[in-house]
Amino acid sequence: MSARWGMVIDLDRCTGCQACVVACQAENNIPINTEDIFHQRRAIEWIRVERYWEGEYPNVKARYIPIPCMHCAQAPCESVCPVYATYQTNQGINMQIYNRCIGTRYCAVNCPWHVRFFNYWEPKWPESLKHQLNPHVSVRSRGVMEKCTFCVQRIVRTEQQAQVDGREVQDGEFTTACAQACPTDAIVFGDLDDPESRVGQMAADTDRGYQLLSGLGTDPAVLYLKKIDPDAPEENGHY
Amino acid sequence: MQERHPLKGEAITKELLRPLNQTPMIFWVAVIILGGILTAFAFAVGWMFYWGLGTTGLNTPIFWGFMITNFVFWIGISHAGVMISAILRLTQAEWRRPVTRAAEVMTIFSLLTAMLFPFLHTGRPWRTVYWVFPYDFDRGIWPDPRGPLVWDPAAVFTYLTGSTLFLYTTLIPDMALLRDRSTGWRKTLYTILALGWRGNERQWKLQLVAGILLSALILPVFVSVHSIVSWDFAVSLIPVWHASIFAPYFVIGAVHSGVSAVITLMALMRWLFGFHNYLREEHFDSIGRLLVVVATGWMWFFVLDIIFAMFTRDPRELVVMEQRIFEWPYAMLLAFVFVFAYIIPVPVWMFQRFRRNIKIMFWTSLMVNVGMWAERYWLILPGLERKFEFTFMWSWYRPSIVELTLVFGSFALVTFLLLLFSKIFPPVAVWEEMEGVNFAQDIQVGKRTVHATIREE
Amino acid sequence: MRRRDFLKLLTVSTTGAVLFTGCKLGGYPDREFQKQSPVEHPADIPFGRDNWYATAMPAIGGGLGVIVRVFEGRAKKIEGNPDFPLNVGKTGPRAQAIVQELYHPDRIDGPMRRNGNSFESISWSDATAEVAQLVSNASSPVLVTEPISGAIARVAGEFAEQAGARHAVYEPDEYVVLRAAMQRVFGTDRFPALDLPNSGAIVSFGADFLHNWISPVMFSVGYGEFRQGGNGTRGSYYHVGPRLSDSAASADRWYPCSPGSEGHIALAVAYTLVEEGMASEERASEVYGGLSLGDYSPEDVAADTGLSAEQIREIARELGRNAPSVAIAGGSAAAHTNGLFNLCAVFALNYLTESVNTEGGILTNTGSPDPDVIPNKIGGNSFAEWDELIEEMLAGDVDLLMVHKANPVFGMPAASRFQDALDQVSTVVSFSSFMDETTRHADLILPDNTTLEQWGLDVPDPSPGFQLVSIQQPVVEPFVSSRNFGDSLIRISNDAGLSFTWSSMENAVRELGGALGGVGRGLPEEASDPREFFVAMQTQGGWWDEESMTSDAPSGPEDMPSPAEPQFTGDESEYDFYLLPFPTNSYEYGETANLPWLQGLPDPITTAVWTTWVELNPNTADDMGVQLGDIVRIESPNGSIEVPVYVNPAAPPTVAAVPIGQGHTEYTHYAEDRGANPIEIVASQTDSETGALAWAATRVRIEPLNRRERFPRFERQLPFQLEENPIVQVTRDA
Ligand SMILES: Nc1nc2c(c(=O)[nH]1)N[C@H]1C(S)=C(S)[C@@H](COP(=O)(O)OP(=O)(O)OC[C@H]3O[C@@H](n4cnc5c(=O)[nH]c(N)nc54)[C@H](O)[C@@H]3O)O[C@H]1N2
Ligand code: SF4
Ligand code: SF4
Ligand code: SF4
Ligand code: SF4
Ligand code: SF4
Repeated sequence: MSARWGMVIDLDRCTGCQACVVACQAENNIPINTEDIFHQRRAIEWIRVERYWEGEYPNVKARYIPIPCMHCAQAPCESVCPVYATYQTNQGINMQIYNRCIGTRYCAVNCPWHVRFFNYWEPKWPESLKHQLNPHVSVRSRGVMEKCTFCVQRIVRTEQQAQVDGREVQDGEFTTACAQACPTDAIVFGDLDDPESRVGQMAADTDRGYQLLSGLGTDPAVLYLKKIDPDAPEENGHY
Repeated sequence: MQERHPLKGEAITKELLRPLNQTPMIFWVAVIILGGILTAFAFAVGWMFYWGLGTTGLNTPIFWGFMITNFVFWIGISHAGVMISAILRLTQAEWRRPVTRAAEVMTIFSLLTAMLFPFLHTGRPWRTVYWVFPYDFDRGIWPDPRGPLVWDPAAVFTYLTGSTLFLYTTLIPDMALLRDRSTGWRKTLYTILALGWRGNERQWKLQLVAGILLSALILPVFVSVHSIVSWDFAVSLIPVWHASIFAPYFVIGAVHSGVSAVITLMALMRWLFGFHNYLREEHFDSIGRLLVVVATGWMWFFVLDIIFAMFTRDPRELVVMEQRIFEWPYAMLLAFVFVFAYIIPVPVWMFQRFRRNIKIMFWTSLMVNVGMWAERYWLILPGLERKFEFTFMWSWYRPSIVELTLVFGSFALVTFLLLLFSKIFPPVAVWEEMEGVNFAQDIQVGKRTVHATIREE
Repeated sequence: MRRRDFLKLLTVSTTGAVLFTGCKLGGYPDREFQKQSPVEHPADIPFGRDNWYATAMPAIGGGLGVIVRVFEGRAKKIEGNPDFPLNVGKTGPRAQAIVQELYHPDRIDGPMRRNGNSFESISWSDATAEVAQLVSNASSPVLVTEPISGAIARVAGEFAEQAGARHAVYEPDEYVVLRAAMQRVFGTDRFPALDLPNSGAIVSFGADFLHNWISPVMFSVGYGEFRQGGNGTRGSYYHVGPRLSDSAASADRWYPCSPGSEGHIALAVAYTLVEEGMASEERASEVYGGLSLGDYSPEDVAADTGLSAEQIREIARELGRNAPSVAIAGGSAAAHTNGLFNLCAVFALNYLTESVNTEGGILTNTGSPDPDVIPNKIGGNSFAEWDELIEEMLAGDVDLLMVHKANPVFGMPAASRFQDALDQVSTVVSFSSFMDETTRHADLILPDNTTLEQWGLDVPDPSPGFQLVSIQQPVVEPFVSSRNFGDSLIRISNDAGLSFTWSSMENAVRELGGALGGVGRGLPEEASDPREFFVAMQTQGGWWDEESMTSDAPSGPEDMPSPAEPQFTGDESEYDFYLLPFPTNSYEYGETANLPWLQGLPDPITTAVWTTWVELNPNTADDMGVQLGDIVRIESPNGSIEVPVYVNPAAPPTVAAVPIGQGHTEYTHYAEDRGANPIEIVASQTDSETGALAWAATRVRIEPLNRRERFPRFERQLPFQLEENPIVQVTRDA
């Protein structure tokens, strides 16, 4: 199926609740981030919610932004991988082949969005918690890079079902784990190439859209909608 | 023009071959100390392989640290050999003669050591084969030629091949010499390595042509190696790395540290093997002069790199530059780099008195390399610590004991290999020395008799 | 491969590579470079079947409806149930993590009996027989549960009756006050719903309604629509409270007020509404029980509240002009000695803006379609009532205490003496699935099934504005030898020789759920055949009737509490900070602190993980000479805790905010000996009207200990945005 999968993330809806973060961990077999892992600054969150401060008390603002992989069309992480362990699918997904990855970490060095995560240790689960692991997602061994896949296992499953039924995949028939969990509907996932799709329409209709680090020319597949702040200075749109 | 006391042929040979036959106490002390460090090194490697890169101080987003810094450093050192042998050979600088062998050997050993590090620092070293050699034909997946990590091994292997050939070409006459003067396993070894050298005119001619040809061929490789290593950084998007000046900047930095390392080595050989008659003050003097120029060139690029970053007025660059120049610990490190790699050594080298003082040359050259190691670190790390405007993810890096051991181990490794080499091969090329003697004549200059070389080719 | 082939391949591929790299057209690279990931390869997809079962989570977010992906008999992933009206397909972080409760490595894996200081396994038949014996012999048994409703409320009710046991309900005191406020202001003790999508404005007085206040998922769903929804105007949200809470960060404006002054601000808001002609004076006087608002002009109130008169007027205008709008209060506003007054004064504002039971306003909870058959949620007892029970226990008048899920040993302050009281009870029986602080004191443990293994029929509280009953069904077999709490009660009753109305929880759920078919309205409509009706109810996750929305507003509050100033324990000269405990996004009052995903989930504001901290204003911290990670002792008249400092740019200078939920001494190895529990040092002061614990009414002093620990958190530095390149871009126009 031809598509360019993408996301629209509305910062005016996002409340920083982090349901997306846990949903992604549950769906994608992300190892438990222990206290030590945080001390080592090696926590893995394929989607993370960053919080930025602006101003000083009492005129202080805290702002949230969820950041998954941008799935750049011209991905700087891809061209530096010596072994094609990270590559672009024909549906615009920046994919990671764990088995090929040798762990040079160059891709992560060259990803300006900080969304690639390296398995510094062998991932471990208590025996009983392994029952939760999603069988459709590989558990990554130590020494390999991992990252948001746009929940490709869900895409594959839906496409197979559509094929069996002899039809096209419908917009909104499935969505990613983070978007599905997000209670404020801040994350919308879909086919950017389809002007009829929800993301297609949102991208076309909005005058709040922006891409993170768009100046780098990597053409991210994640479009953000600016947060609205009635107190924002009119000029440059931020403090 | 060089002055010296005339030496006789047989005396030269005897003296230069002495390290092969005599083993002073200090050699064993060195072997034991280095062996100890190397054991720690091997243990650290094993530990890291067993537990994974979690044992390093690397984190997200500081994915590269000491090991990459060390890689760049040793690649830099490896530039000594070609600089000394090839360039000085082509420019017919006579004073190169006693230094070439050591410099070439150092090239090879530091290259090998450097190559170890990208391999060690991968997450799964046991699977790295298809990085360089595309063994899995069935799937038709080849290494990706778009990225510098494929250019790197290509350049480094080429350089290694070239340097090895170069070294070997210059070793052949000495091998024949040793073949004729040794017994037992040594004789067998030297016989094989001498490739049937008889020293006839045709062979000498071939050897000469090969040397000159290789010198000329290896020059572009020499320039390319560190350029390509610099592209590991320069072709990335990381703000302060993404600089077109990196290639020449890295090359000249490499020459600075490589040639300094040669001085260190010369001083050590002089003390260890008593080569006072070969590694003479005037050699130190000449290299010192060369270094003043190289160091100043390097400093020029160093400053340019900073100015270029400021010139862009790109806040992403400025943020990192600010950290590098004004914030702890990078401000200290910057001062350290300046002082160690330039401010102390270069003024010292301005004086012939100091250039001819072996101790001073030893310590200043050592300082340069300490400074240059720090320079690589200073260049690489801050860009990762403040990568783009995600201040939320801005991180810091502290190397672990494992990484420290690997770095110290690499120094021990190169030293150890050099020591071993000197037990099997003459550390100063005998035939080159002899050739030098043959070309030299005593010339009357005023009241003094000067030993000078005049070549007419 | 022959050498020729190899060379040929080599040239072809290199040329190919170079060529194709050179002419990369369009969005993504040419097909040439596409090497498929195994995950895209159908042959590598494991075989097996996915089943999706609908069930409910009564304990999470007010009672969420979820569907669970079950693959080969194992629960894998939780999603919101798109049909379920409360959360319409959405979930929150805590709901997502409930699979970890099921497969938790430290679950109690079967019934146990105390043996000295440890426990030994026993059989289920021994366990129930033993409890039956105890129940028969007990003269004054007590049954302690969390707030329960529906089928389990019936079963527990019948059991308590048979055993002659008193039923005490343990719930965070904030909610005890809230229920009382709801009773007085809206005439029902159930929690309200908010019609945010149609609302013009929301002002929250301390309620962290998007993260942990009664039903954050429902409110978040509404909030998304409220901000960027269909009706075209963007709702505005102001937050008033002594801490920039997780929700407050999303507000258009945050007004930091003095702790406990929320009620007075509300009165001044009411004053302004009248003054500026947005509400009539008579109505205001009627709503506030004849109180003369004249004494509460913004100017009069401003000084004590920490807000300026202008700010108070802005709040009033926001509510008045954008009506229908909602004013809500909760969190620390409820946890003061004047807590009930604070809440009532705020909720009453909704009458002035005519936003009660109207589109876009606050919707009172319609409750169960038939409370006699399916009881509404039984709310918690107040701290004062607990105190009476504690006295009895200390006097040795309670000989059997049976406790389910509630963990008062952890939740009540040390000053309550609950723990000592527990030691005076001859036998304690716990029905917990996990070893918690209260269960540690048990003599017998009969572990309950976890959420995903249970049968249940619940009346969610809050409701979505209309009548709703959720149904819980086991999506997997019990993972360990545990048993439904209800089944245990029924067995115990049977073992004691008594007959019970139902033979099992499943039986009770089927029967009571089936009875809904007789109501004759609501979904599912297949009421003709009881079997079909029940199956339809199971598949859609419950029964609801969207028509049952109440449109008639109660006439006004009854018995408005009179204005009162907050009282604090601890003299201001000696104790110079307000201690402000707060429930968190990850584990609320500590209930989910045993789940590793939630322990490792960064707190939205501080990004702290796996720990407790105290938030200090940067200037305060400077004066004190402390920085991030420095350990300080927080000392109240009732005790002290030691916690690391988090320097929070948004912390008011005199407030020391400390999260609740950590500091467990039991509760699985993920939660044990981690952080500190601020409730421990809270004075046992209560709200003057409801007797609920005023956990925000304690003053403390802070003493640096000249010790530093690494502070576990997700953010690396203290991230302010780079002005030139902001990551979060904002715009003024909607
Ligand atoms: N290439 C190749 N093909 C082979 C063989 C080979 O060696 N190589 N071996 C052959 C042999 S010997 C065999 S026996 C067959 C095996 O072939 P299959 O019988 O197809 O075996 P499985 O794929 O192991 O299992 C079938 C399905 O049963 C499901 N299942 C597991 N437990 C239960 C249960 O309790 N109830 C129900 N209803 N389903 C359950 C599993 O999830 C799985 O989807 O393969 C044959 N095919
Ligand atoms: S965001 Fe980073 S990881 Fe994702 S495609 Fe772009 S460069 Fe690659
Ligand atoms: S870490 Fe893996 S994916 Fe990334 S560049 Fe290295 S080999 Fe490629
Ligand atoms: S095992 Fe995985 S990496 Fe290896 S060939 Fe098969 S699909 Fe490729
Ligand atoms: S799209 Fe899927 S993989 Fe990516 S962040 Fe969301 S849940 Fe995780
Ligand atoms: S789940 Fe939605 S609202 Fe919550 S943090 Fe993620 S994107 Fe924001």
